[in-house]
Amino acid sequence: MLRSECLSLTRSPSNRWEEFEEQVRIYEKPLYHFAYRLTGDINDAQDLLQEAFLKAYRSYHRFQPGTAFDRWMFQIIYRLFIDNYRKKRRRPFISSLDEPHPHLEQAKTADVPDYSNLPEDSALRQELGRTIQEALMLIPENFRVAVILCDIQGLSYEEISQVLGCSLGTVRSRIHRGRRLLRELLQPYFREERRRKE
Amino acid sequence: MNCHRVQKLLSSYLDQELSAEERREIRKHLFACAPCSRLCDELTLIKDSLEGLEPPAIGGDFLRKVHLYREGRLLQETFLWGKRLAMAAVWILLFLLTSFLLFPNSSGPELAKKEEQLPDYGARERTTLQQEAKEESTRLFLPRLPGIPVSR
Ligand SMILES: [Zn+2]
Repeated sequence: MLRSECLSLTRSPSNRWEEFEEQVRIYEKPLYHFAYRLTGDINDAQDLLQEAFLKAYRSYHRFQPGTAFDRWMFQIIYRLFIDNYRKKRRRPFISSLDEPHPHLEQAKTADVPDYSNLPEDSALRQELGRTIQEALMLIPENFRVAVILCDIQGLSYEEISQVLGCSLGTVRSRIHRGRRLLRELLQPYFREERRRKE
Repeated sequence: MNCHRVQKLLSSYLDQELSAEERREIRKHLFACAPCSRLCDELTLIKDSLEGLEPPAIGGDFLRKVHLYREGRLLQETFLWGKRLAMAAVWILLFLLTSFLLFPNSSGPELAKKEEQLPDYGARERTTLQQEAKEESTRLFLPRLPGIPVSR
């Protein structure tokens, strides 16, 4: 029996609860961010996270102390999202660069914010955030989750492959294809930005 | 390395997930190839924009469902103990009832028997007092004279 397994068996229920609460307190912010970028909706993200914490608490005896709680939670959140929340999605994904994406084409006519060097102004940052989130929601979930884990959560390819349970090659491909789709979707903004700077 | 190969590896290049040799080759290619270099810039912009995204403000209790679950479990346990206690009480009551029905008069005659067996401590005291009273009355009728012993 592994040492970590022994440790998990000797944890009393009250210790277990305190430990769990502590882990939640430490990681709730990045986990909430992850859930939000995945669902694209504050309420869905809160609901998803509540559900994920419940699932995690009920199987916390299987969590090995000393391993990364957030990585474990990413797994739970993503699986729950795939099982329950993606059914609620309203817009179809684009899986090819040739497909039109009217949603962002419409938004293009709005005032183009200056965000090439990550704007200081909080209103502009919010605008950029909304635009990127809309683009994220238009790409397939398996690309989206890989890009979010890499760029927003800062995980390595190796860690992402563990969270998603797929090969390094698959992670590499999903991140790349996800970014290229995002580039296509956001190109009107970037083009406008370049034109303004010149 | 040709353009196709470089463009396929660009994301991994940006994420520093390539070998030193691959990185060197891509750097060399980007220096000489404008389209690949432009794609690299655009992907960098995407990556930077995603990295710069701010997390939403924490709102609400994320452990709400866990609290409800724990309260439910606690209530369930309390209910279970209540149920166990009630069952125990019912069993004791049944046992008493059965034993009473099987031996309905067992307690009456046994008590009477015990009363019979008890010694009458009062009887002995009564005879002693009677005897003393008798002696006293005898003594009162005999005059106390010096030199003459009182005989019974
Ligand atoms: Zn090239």
